[in-house]
This record gives sequence, C-alpha cells and structure tokens, in this order.
Amino acid sequence: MKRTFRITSALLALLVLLVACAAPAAAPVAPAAPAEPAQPIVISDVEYGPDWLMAAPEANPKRGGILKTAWGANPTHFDIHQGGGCAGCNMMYDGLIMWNLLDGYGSIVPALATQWEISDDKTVYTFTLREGVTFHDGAPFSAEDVVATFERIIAPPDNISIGGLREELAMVDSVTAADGSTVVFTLKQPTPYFLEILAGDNSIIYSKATLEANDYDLRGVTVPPGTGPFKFVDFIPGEKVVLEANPDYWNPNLPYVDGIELLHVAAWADRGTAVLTGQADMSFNVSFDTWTEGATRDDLGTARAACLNSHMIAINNTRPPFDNPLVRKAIHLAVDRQALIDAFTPVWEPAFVTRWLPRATPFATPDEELLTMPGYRPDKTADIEEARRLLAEAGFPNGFETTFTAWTEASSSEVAVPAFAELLRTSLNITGDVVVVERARTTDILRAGDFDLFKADIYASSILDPYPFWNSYLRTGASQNWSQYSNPDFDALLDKLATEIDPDARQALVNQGLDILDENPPFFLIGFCAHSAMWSTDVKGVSFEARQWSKWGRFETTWLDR
Amino acid sequence: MAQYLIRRLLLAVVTIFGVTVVIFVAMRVLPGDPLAMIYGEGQGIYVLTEEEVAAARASLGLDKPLYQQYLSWMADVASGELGYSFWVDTPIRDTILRRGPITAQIALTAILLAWIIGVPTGILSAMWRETPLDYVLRIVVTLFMAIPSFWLGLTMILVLVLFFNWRPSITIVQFWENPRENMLMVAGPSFAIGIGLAAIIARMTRTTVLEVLREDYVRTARAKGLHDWGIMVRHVLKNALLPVITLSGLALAGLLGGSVAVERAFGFPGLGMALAQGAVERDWMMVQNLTLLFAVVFVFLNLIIDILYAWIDPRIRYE
Repeated sequence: MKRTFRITSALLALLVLLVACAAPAAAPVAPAAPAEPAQPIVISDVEYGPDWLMAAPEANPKRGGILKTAWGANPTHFDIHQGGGCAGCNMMYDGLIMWNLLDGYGSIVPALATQWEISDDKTVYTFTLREGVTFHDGAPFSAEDVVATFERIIAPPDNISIGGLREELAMVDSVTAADGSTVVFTLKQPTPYFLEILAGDNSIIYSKATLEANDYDLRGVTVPPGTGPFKFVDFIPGEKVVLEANPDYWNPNLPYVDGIELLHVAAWADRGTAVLTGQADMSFNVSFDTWTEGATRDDLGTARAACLNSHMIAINNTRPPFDNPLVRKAIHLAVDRQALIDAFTPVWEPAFVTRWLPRATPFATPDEELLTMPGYRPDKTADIEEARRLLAEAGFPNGFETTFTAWTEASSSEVAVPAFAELLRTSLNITGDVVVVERARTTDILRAGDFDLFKADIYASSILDPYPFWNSYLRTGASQNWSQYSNPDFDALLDKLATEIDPDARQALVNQGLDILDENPPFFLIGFCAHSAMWSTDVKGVSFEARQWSKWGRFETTWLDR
Repeated sequence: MAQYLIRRLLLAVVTIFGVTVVIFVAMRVLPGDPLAMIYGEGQGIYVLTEEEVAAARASLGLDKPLYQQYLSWMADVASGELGYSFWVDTPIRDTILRRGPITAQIALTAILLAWIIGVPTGILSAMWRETPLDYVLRIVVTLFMAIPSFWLGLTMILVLVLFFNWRPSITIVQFWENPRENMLMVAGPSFAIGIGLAAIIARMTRTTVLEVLREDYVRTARAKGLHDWGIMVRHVLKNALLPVITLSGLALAGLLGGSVAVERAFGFPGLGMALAQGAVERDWMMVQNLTLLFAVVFVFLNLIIDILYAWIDPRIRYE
C-alpha cells in the first residue's frame, strides 16, 4: 500500500507541476476507488429528559491531555453569526439544543435549554433554560441573552451582515422572554425543521452585555465570551486557535481533555501527513493518498462521511441555449457523474452520486433506486441516446460551442471542469474553452451572470431538511439562485413544502420536487462530497464510526487513551 | 560617499512612496471582492446581498474616498501597527514579527548553504575545467538548476513521512523557544531553496573565475611563482565574486519575502504564504503592508550591496 501511496503522491507532484506550468487541459478520467455508500440517516425519536447530561460513550474515560486537530482554522473573525469562526471554534459556545455526539448526530438533545414544548399548531416553541450557567467572563446566562442573540439574527442592525442564518430563521416572528429562564419563539408558520436549525453549530448564544458593548458587531472582538465547554486562550493567525477546558462548564462530565489546539492546516495532504506523523491527533478531511496510507495502519482509524455541500456545475439559465430546459436535461442525462467523481477523487476526495439532496438526509433517494434511474445509472448508453434526441429537439443536433469556467484553490474544480468538458464533447459534441478564475472573482462572475457553465460549488445545506436550501438556491429570484433557475411548478411545490408537517406527506412532496428537478434541471449536480476522516486510535469518545454525516465541530466528549 | 548615500536614501524614499501608491491602487482595481462571499471550510459558498456587502465595506472604512483610505494607511504605518487584516483585531505588525524571523532564518540559511556549496563547486569546476571532474560538476549543477525547489520540497516531505514517519512542525517554533525543533523546521525549506541557488552560484562562480583567470595580473602572479590556490584566494576570488555577491543579495531580498512555493510544499506558515493568501483573499491591508515591507528590504539591501562593492573592490568609488 505504501507503493500505492508513493505512486499516487508522485502523480500528485507531477499534477501540481503541470498545473503550475500549463493551462488546464482536458484531464484524463482516471479510475479511483469508489466511496463507500452511506445510508441515509433517521433522526431519532428518543426523548431526553431535563436531567440528561452528555458523557463519553465508553466506561471510565481518562481525563487530561491536549487534543490536536488539523483542518482550516484561520477565522477571519469570531462573530459566528456573521460567517466567522472555524470548525471547532463553536465549542466556546452553546446553543439551546444540539446534535447528539454519541449516536453520530442521529438525535437532538438538550444544551442550554433543558426541555421544550411545541404548540399544537407547531408555531410556538417554549424553551426552559438551564439554571446556573455562566459565560466565560463570569456573567450569568439568562433568557435576555437568548432574546438579544436571536433578535440580532432575525432583525440585524444596518452595520452588520448576518446572511445565511437570517434567511434560515426567516420564519421566526418573535423571540420573547416569558421570564428569566423561559424563552418563547413564535413562528409565522409551522416549520418542521425549526429544531434542526436551532441545533446547528451556528445557532450559538452570545451574551446581551457583549452584544450591547460592541454595537451588536462582534467582528472586532477576540473572542466574545460563550458558555461552552472550552474557553479561548490564543489565536495565532494562519497557525492555530488554542482552547482550554472550561472548569465551570454546566455539564460536570465534560470536557475530558485539558485543551484543544485547532491547528490551521490548509492543504489536505499536510493534514494527512500531520496525522500520519502524530503532529495532529485527527482531521476530518485529509487527501486521498494520505487517507489510503492511513487505512493500512493499525494505529490510525479512517472513515468516510457524507457531507452537506456539493460538487456542481452552475448553468446560466438565462443564456441561450441553456435557457432551454431540453438542453439542461440533455446535459443532466449525458454526463457520467461517477466518471467525474473518479477524475477528481485522487486530487481531492470522493463524492456520492445523489439526486439533488445530500446523501446524509433521510429524504435522499436510496442507492438501489437511484442507480436504476435515467441520468444516475452506471450504463450511460440509453441516457446518451435520449440526451442526443433532446438536444436535436432543442435545435442542436450537432452540438454547440460554450465556455467552461473553473475556479482556482480547488483541485476538484481544476480537474473536474476539463473532465466535464471532455464528457460533454464525446457524448453531445458540446465543445468550448476552459477558463480558470480566482476564487475572489467568483462573486463578481456569479452576480454578473458572466458564465455559461461554472463549477462554482454553490449548493450547500446547513441542515438535513431540504426546504431551506432548496428555497435559497432554487426558488425564482432567491438570494443564492445563481443559475437563475425559474420554474413555477417547483416554486409552488416549495410553498407546500415550507409548512407540511406530516412526515409521509413531506417525503411525498420532496419526491415530487426531485422528479421536477430531474425533468427540468437547474444545473448539473455531480454529487455531494464525502469527507475522508483520519484519527489516531487513542482518540476516544467521538463515536467516529457512528458518525453518519460529516459534522465535526464539537469534541467535548473526546478523551485521550494515553 | 556621504553625498552618494544621501542621494540614494532620498531616492529610496521616492521609490518606496511609488510602491505604496502602485500597490494601493492595484489592490483596488483588481477584480474580485472577498467581502462579497463567505467561504467556510466544508460549508460551500454563501454570497452576500449587495446591501450586506455595503454594510461590511462601510464597517471597514472602505466606503471613504481613496485619498482618505491612503492617508489612513500611512497613519497606520507611521504608528508602527501597519493596520489590520480584514476584521482580525491583531495588527499586521504582529504577523510580521512572528513570521519574519523564521522567514529570514530560512533565507539566510539558504544563502549560506548556497555559498558553502556553490562557491567551492564553481572554483573546482573552473580550476579543473574541461576535465572529468568539471563535466560531472556541470551535470550536477545543471540538474539542480532545473529542479524546481517546490518539487524538491514535496519529495523531501514524502521521503520523511514514508521512511521516517516524521515531518517538520506545521506551526512556527522560534529559535528561542526550542532551538532543536526550530533548526529541524528551517532545515528542509533552506535546503530545498539553497541547493538550487547553490547550482546558480556555482555556475556563475565558474564563469567569472574563468574570466578573471585570463587577466594579465593573474598571469603576472603565476610568473612570480605564486601557488594556484594562493592566486585564487588573493587575486581571483576578490574580483570574481562581485557578480556572485550581487546575485546573492538579490536572491536574499527575494527570499526575505518568503518563497510561496516552498512554504506551501512544507506546509510552512511564512511571510510568503501570508502574502499569497492575502492576494487570493484580496486582503488589501495584508498585501499592501507586506509589499511595503519587501520594497523597503529590497531597496536597502541593494544599497548595502553597492556599499559592499566599494569595500571589496577599492577601484570602485562613489561620488
């Protein structure tokens, strides 16, 4: 296996050299090991009482030691609601509720709220807050902090930009403190995924005093105090964020380690070598070759987990001939998704072929059904034949010329786009130049609609429910609808999906939505990514194997068996 | 000499002012706006609305007239803090103070290594020109001139990880914190850069030594019965090394700005990576201040080299 690593590494070095020296050309579609298919998860119905406290799943966990992680930990600022922070930085804070670390994020459990009640019409959520909780600066936590935090999100002052979280919580009509330890969220409409958003890593609580002292803009504050299991110690830009255990944490079981060093390691190969050589204890996404090497070692564990962001080619729906749904469907049918994934896997990470939804969601179409469907099945013969017919019907029997855009800083883009261009050329005779742009120019290009086909990867969810991100990315005129997709049928379906509470009816609506998108695709979805995690086997308490979707932000149950 | 120095210092001020204006304008006319997009690790891209972008720009003072932004930057420079990276409340000065010493350490070690290997190689090659030794040395020199330093760095990392299960530290370890760790961290990048530079210096040394060996005063020295090594040390090297000093000075000035490719190969957080990251993310203040720093270093190193010329070669006098 070491030989495989060496060969892959040599190829990678050669690839780096070629990318540095030459303009990207059509990349060969190299075979790669397919990712292990993940099974859609089911959110647990288990109820956790007000006295329930999280603890490591193993008996007799050891205390002490410093956990070192390796991934991108170079926050531009620490205002998490304004898009700052890093994976792990949110451990300085708590939300009202959180995903359960013990069952692989399969259930939602109490955090700063010990229990909650939902009204019969599903529009009023009443949270009972935990008593005796303090912020790291010693200030007591109360309902006023929750109200101030969420009011800033749902109605931000002019001097700040909350962005995605505000959109996700647009259904909140008001947040009020019934008393010092009770908070009431009143929604404009029934929202089946409301608790999912509140359990998210970004839905953390700041103190009202901190918000007021900084004019509600925390971007210049290093670091706003939280109530979380770890306290801030140091931030060295471009190197690491250092945290220490909070001795006054409200959960006396946690945390187990004395501190965490969130090492900033930008390159995935460096993350891998850091774990291989023991400089880091774990990483949630390492390069393909280092992961493969780690999988051969007894002292390291490896896993792949479905994540919620995608690899996709944005199609400019306003530019002919892409304004014709027949052309978009022809592309949807003709291009071999697995071949594209195989092309970029050796230089990036694997991905799962999916149908407009992350593989991790319970709403995703199961593999056995997906792999028989047009556009997704492995045998492309019939799909390409149908795609050619559609293209001819649209008036392009001999194909046409277009432009393919890739962005730098992501090998997946620089490899996938030429491979995509080659697959379109061979299947539909759609040809054109490949243009590579800097990441910083992505926004300008998207805003101006200055592209035909652009691997921009702008289709990501923060939760498992499909509605919020379908609403942001696919509704006519939505803020993140950069393909400028407009389909009245799909918009009407979104209206129903927004408030449908019944699980079966909701699944039926999602299935209808998937059918609509297959028939009239907004863009070309390659798949949703599969992070390659690697860790030292003496890192315990993380339930790595149970981790059903890639969410790696909290490690309070982690302990070191040393 | 004093007049010359004053003239050069005045010229340096004008040059550095020109650099500040060019980089200030360049960052603002480059396409791309980092404030318009939130790109989180593993979280995809969220593009801000135009209103949100306007709010973000205003909060950073980027909605003010250009001359006010420039003056504000100059005030930051005068204060010694050099301004702040976008939103992070640590001055850029701190980044330079942390990364600068180790970047300088790598640059100086690389130059030292290049001289220790390159100059003797060039001398040997020249003294035994057109012999098997010369042929072998020239092949090796050409090989190392052709090998990119980042490739050498990547290969070194692979060998270290695969065969020794070890890699240099990912975070900075300063010499005064842990000398051994620091030296191990510096060794790899210094070697990857230094060996290529040694090849260039060897080639230049060989050429210039061969030129000087043909001079009349060398023939005279030989006629006086001086030994070959005596001639080389006392008469040839002093004259032959002037271009090598120029080359080394320029290389040092470049390396003090960090080598992006080698830093990336080693996963090393030096000044080069800070500049590259700043450029990619359009972190204007970071790019402006690092460019200013490199301009100052470059201008003054050039001045020092010119003064060294006069010291080494008494025939050179500045008026």
